[in-house]
Amino acid sequence: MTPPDDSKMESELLEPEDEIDPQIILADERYEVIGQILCEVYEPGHGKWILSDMLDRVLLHRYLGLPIFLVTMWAMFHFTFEISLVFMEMITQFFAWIGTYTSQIPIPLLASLVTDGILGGVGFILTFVPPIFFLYLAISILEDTGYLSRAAFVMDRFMMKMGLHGRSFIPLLLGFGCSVAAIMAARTVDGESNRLTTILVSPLMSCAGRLPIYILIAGVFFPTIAGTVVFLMYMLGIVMAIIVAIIFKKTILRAESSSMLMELSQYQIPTAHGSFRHMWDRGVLFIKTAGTYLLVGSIIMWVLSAFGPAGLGVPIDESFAAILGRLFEPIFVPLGFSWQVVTGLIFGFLAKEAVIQSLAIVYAVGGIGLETALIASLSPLAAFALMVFVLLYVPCLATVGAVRKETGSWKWTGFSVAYQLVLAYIVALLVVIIGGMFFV
Amino acid sequence: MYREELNLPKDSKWSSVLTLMIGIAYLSVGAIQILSSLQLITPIIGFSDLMGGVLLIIVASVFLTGVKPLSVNNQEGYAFIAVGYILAALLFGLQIFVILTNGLGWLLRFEDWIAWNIWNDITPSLWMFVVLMTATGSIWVIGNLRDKILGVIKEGVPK
Repeated sequence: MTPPDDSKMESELLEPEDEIDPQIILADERYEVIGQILCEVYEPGHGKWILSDMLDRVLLHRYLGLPIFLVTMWAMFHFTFEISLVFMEMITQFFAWIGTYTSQIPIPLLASLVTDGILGGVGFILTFVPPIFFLYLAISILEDTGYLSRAAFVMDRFMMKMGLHGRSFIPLLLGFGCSVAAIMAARTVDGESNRLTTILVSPLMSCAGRLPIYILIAGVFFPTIAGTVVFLMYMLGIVMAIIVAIIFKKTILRAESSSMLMELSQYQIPTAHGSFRHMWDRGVLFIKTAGTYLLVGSIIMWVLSAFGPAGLGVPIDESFAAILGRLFEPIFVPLGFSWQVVTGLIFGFLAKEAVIQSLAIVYAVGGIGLETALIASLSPLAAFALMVFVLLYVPCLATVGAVRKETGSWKWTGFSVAYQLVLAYIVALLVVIIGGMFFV
Repeated sequence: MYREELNLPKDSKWSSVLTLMIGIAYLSVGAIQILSSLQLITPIIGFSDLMGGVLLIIVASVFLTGVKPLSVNNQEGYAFIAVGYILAALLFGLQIFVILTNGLGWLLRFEDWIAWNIWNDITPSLWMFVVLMTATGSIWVIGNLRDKILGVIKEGVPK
């Protein structure tokens, strides 16, 4: 047997690409100590192999883990979209019924404010309560079973390969509910560079506030595959977050990588009480937002749509809303967005729900139904580009505030807003250009 | 729950054959659904969703991955059967919810549901699970009967 060449071994050890991460050494040492203790107190045997381990053998499988995660995610969004449609129709019919009374208020200005402004805005946004509640229910069930933490584990393998921190996926998953929560959860990520990367890419994950826009656009333009289109938007959010994180890690945020050490709890059967409680706690925030910020927003939007430089009751094309939209419309001409859509996107800076709320009010004041108006003003390709733009541009003012608070820097906050706007525009433009080659 | 409490059969040769058959069935139906949705073959009612076909193939791959460990009596192969059943049940349950809510819309005579037809919602993910459960139930009953009959033969006919 030939003895090992020490000098060769040493030089190999010093190769930069072979450097062993201190975190991994630390984890190895930690498990060695655990192993020594276990040897003294634990007698291994087949009987210790429990159902939870059995399920993990497949759900965390090297090759099957990711496809199973995708099936679960698809099922979640299909459930959210398909099941809620009939309940949304019930709420729509309810507000339409109330609208038949409010439109008869003898004072025309008040009738228009209540019918077109409040019912057309807040009433319209409330029709999206069912999908948002169903989405939260599905997330709660996945969390309560213990699968959601496994999803982070499944994704960790891919994220580590791309030089990212595996633990970053947990805040990103929280981003499905709310971007603010995702940014706050980035505190758990080790390393300043990793934490900053997570904060910057978290808003790219599709929050619940964007769901109404997807449901509306997908339902109008892609009715037969609407559930799948909504699922694709969420997947695109994950893919874009990973791509952008890689770019940041390779350019402006080069720094340490660290391994993920995570204790996985056993699988549990979720209780109806627990899951519905979590759904209610999260969903009620949406109703509170609709009853406060969105109510004020809808009144402001109605004022901008009903008033113009010439005074009250001007045609919608001469309103302040039209002036505001037309100011930025030239930038969005390549994407195929009309001034009404641009106005909606501007209001979307306050909260994403405000995009379709604004569209509903602008078209209602103009005397056109929202779905008819959308089909007339957008091509299916432009509609898809609109969904992509909404997915990628700044989620809401609260998120901007959270980025400022967590980074403690206006520079990074400004960078976050700017890069998201540029990214949203470029990707939406690519959708129009590449899609135009195949579908037009 | 520990392994002993799961009452897994010690000889998993027959389970591997069953898993192989289930896997091939899901794979074939998934492939047909993809071809039908892409209109590469004559379109079939209920087979119009491309994504649905992909999901069936993923379920099939879970079952098929379990065949090898089961064929060498490695009991960990049962984990693949369990997860395959869970995924198939998830897709089945989802489709049941879709039918129930669409049926509600149809009963309430909402505009978008007037032309609704239940046959469009009878997708392969729905009936494949029914076939799967029926086959599993039948095999379980046959297995039990076989054990009882063999037990009687071994012990001898009572006088």
